[in-house]
Amino acid sequence: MNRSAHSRRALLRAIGTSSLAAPFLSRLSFGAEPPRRLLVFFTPNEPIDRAHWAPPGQGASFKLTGLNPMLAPLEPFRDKLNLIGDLSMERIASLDKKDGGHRGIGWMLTGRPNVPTGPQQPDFWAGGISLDQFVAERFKTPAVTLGALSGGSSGNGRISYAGRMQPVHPQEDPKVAFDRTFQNVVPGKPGAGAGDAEARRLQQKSVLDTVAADLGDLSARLAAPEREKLDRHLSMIRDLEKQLQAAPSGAACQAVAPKSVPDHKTNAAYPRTSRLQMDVAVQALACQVTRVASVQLGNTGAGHLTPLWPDDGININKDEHNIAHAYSQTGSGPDVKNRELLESFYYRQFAYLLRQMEAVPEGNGTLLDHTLVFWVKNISHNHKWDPVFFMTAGGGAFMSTGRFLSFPGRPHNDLLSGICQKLGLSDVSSFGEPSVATEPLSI
Amino acid sequence: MLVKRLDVVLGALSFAALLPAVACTGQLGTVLEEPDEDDGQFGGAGGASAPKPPTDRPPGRDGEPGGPSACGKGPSAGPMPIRRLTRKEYDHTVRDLLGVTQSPSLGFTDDEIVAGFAANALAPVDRLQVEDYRAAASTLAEAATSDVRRLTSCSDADLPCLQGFLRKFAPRAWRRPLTETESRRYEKLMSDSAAAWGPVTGLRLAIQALLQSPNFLYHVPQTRKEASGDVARLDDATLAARLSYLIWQTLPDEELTKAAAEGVLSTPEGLTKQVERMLTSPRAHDGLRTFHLQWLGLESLRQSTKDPELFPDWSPELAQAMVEDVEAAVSAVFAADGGKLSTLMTMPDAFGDAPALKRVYGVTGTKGAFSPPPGERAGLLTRPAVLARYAHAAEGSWTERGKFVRERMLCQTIPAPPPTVVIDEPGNDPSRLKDPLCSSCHRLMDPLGQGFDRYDAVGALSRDAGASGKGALWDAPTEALEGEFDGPVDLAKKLGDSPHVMSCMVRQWFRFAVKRLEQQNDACALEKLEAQFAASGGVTTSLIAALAASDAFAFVGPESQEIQP
Repeated sequence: MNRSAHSRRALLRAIGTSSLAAPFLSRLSFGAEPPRRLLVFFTPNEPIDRAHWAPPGQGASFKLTGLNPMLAPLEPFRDKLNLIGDLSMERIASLDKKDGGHRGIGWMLTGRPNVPTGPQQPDFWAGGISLDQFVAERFKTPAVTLGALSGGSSGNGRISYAGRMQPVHPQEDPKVAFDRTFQNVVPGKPGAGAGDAEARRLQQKSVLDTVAADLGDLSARLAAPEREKLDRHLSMIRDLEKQLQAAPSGAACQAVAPKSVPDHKTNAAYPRTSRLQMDVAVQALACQVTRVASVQLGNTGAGHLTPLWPDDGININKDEHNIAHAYSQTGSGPDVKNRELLESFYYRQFAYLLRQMEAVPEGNGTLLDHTLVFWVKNISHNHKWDPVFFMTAGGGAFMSTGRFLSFPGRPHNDLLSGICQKLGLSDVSSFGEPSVATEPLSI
Repeated sequence: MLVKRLDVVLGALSFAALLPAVACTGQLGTVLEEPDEDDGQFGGAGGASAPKPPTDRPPGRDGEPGGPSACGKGPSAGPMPIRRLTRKEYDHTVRDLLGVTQSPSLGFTDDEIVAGFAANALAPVDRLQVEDYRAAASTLAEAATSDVRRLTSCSDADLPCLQGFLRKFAPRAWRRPLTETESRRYEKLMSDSAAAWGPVTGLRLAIQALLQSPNFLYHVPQTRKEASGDVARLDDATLAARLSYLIWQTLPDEELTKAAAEGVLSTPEGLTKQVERMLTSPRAHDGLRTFHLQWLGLESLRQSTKDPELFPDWSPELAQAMVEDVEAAVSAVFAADGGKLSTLMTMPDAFGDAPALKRVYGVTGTKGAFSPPPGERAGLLTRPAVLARYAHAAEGSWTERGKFVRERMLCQTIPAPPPTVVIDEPGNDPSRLKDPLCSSCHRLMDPLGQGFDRYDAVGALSRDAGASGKGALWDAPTEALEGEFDGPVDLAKKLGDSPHVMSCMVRQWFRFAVKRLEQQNDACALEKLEAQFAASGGVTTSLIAALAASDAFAFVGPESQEIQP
């Protein structure tokens, strides 16, 4: 539609066709093969059930010759998808001490059981580092972690973790997301002469040095678990200092800031906010500000989201969690239609993301060919943990695509380590809880 | 049987979620296991101590003594983990430091909830938050020093005067005196910066650093060891700050700081005098309002979505007006009788000028406080904010409304649906009250929530003639609450008079005050607080005063004590 055409045009202007983009493009084309990148995409609830998801075909592994009608928006990208079906989270579920139907959001990227923090359902944090943060650490790149209405600050609303009980909170405001992602990239901030910039840098450095000294003093006074909190704080202050030292790479890429950002805290703006965040993530990967990004839409059950989004082809006055449950309970009539409409909405969002990535030429192909896009799911149908359906897109430059792959009963940990392998981390033979993982899936 | 269940349900407050997939009835009365070691660590980040739930003493039925006292010799106390300022605390603190009136924390990520209240006590700070703190500190310092005379009464060029300001400002920002090393550090930052970029920049950078320092961002217990026992007393500056954030949601004022410096807070009389003064200050409204908004779960109401065809009036502004109605009601009851629980639960007056709010209440043409039509409203339970919060987009939610009453007013925990609940076949009975797997829990919530059916998804009196308003509280924790009721007005009266609800309120205020769940070594403190609250007839300010003066508030366990150099 108009909106997407506009921002797509803007993106092309920025990094594909305008003269401003030339240095960025030339740097890429003069270099060797573009680097492998990872983009994690998350949406609420499950991709309905197997009947709505499985492609036509026979056997445990075959080339995609068609897609389930449910996945119609992805038809243009069929050859770039891998549908990875029938994995299991059962064993992690059995290790997790907490009850409830929506704990998988903590397991899905960490491969570990959660750590309970209280009696209420959302009172937990995940038990280990998540795939995106792990890969970012190994790539020595700052992960760009973005979200749209990800819900409250609890286990239900977080997908990324730096470690056990260390949630990484997504940036939810597209404008701030853009400004911070490109702060060292966007050249010529208003009123900033070179001398001013150097003075600002020195001033920030003395402030951060002072804060770091305070953190060191306080940390020394406290017992171990508290000290760890402050040491972590200190390491992030050190990161900010390093960021100050790094020379701005203004010439590398001209990214385009989002225009007329809606109130990202409103339900009404959710589809638009989602796409703006995808734009930021795509540009961050394209400009190589980072090699790892994530876009989290909603949270596990998304009871706080109500798809009253007529401009996006959906207008249902029930919240997303209720829509999912109503489908499970009646399995017929309008409840089915609502559920399908809702899931189609997310397939269209995913298609938007893939379109944006394919619009960025890179090497012999596009950004999409050099990025493994992982659509991660946190739950199976009806609060079950088996079978869980995942999907990847892109990465054609370094993996085969266009296939259906079924691994009944295999722990999803093996998919996480399999993704690491495809990204070139060949030493990663296991991900998450060691007693659950077996060996990397060959995807 | 009922007594036994009450025991377990209250005990289960701390770890009900850890019981192995219990149904809500039957087993609840019999299963009472100690959580295993890995599970118990609600309080400690990354595996500190494993607090035990208070399972020692079965609280009694209404009016009955509950068994032997949990109090032994000497104070007992639990941990006080360091925690970052909540968003509200942040905003109030910089308001009082710098005179800013907007909310710098608006863009911060949500607070981490512990035991139902904003706490920021478990997860360590994240990169995004560190960047948010830096950006806010920079904006605040810039704005404050853009008119240095207004902030400091010093002229731009008067470095000694500005340094004098910093010496007074820093201990206020940190809620404690600075050590010599710290004073030198900040004086150096300021004088070096002043030499390079001028005195005003020197002050600006010092303020920027102070506001990003852990000593500003975290509540940190400073303790002094008592002669005996393994607990330690908070030093007076820490206690003053803890009092101030409990009662005022902001930093201590000059008088409290002075009292702390003079050692007055270490004496029971001195402490009581300060607490009484604080409770009569207008700032005490901030503490009461904050407690009630968080307890009632209203901080997220603005983000609720309602069906625009059914409720064209719904908007974030209307949600805000509803929240302000609750705040004003709490303030009015607080001013009238110190916030008596029974009054909070039954006072029907409404507050606000927004026409949309008045339409919800079904009144027209008044200004300020107004009375809804007689018999339609009774206190907090029937305020539109609460009814709208626990509702779907198009209709009220039986489950949410029932769960709200169970958990927030009765302090019972409803387990999350077990993952074994699978309704796979189309055509299964959709009613959650008929399928035994669902009904074991839902019968505790849905019949209770059905009693609110006369109020729609935005809390207006439903024009649906079929809405009966008959509800039922089954398996109530006390006999007096058991059985059917006629709508929330009837229910509110019963709850407002219930000793059980009073003891639940003690727990809620305790959690709000110490930002964690109660545990074994809090049992004595809770026992005393329950007695004091009951003796006051349920007056909230009496409860706060008792809480502020309690050992549990002034002492911390060994896990939160400083390492002695």
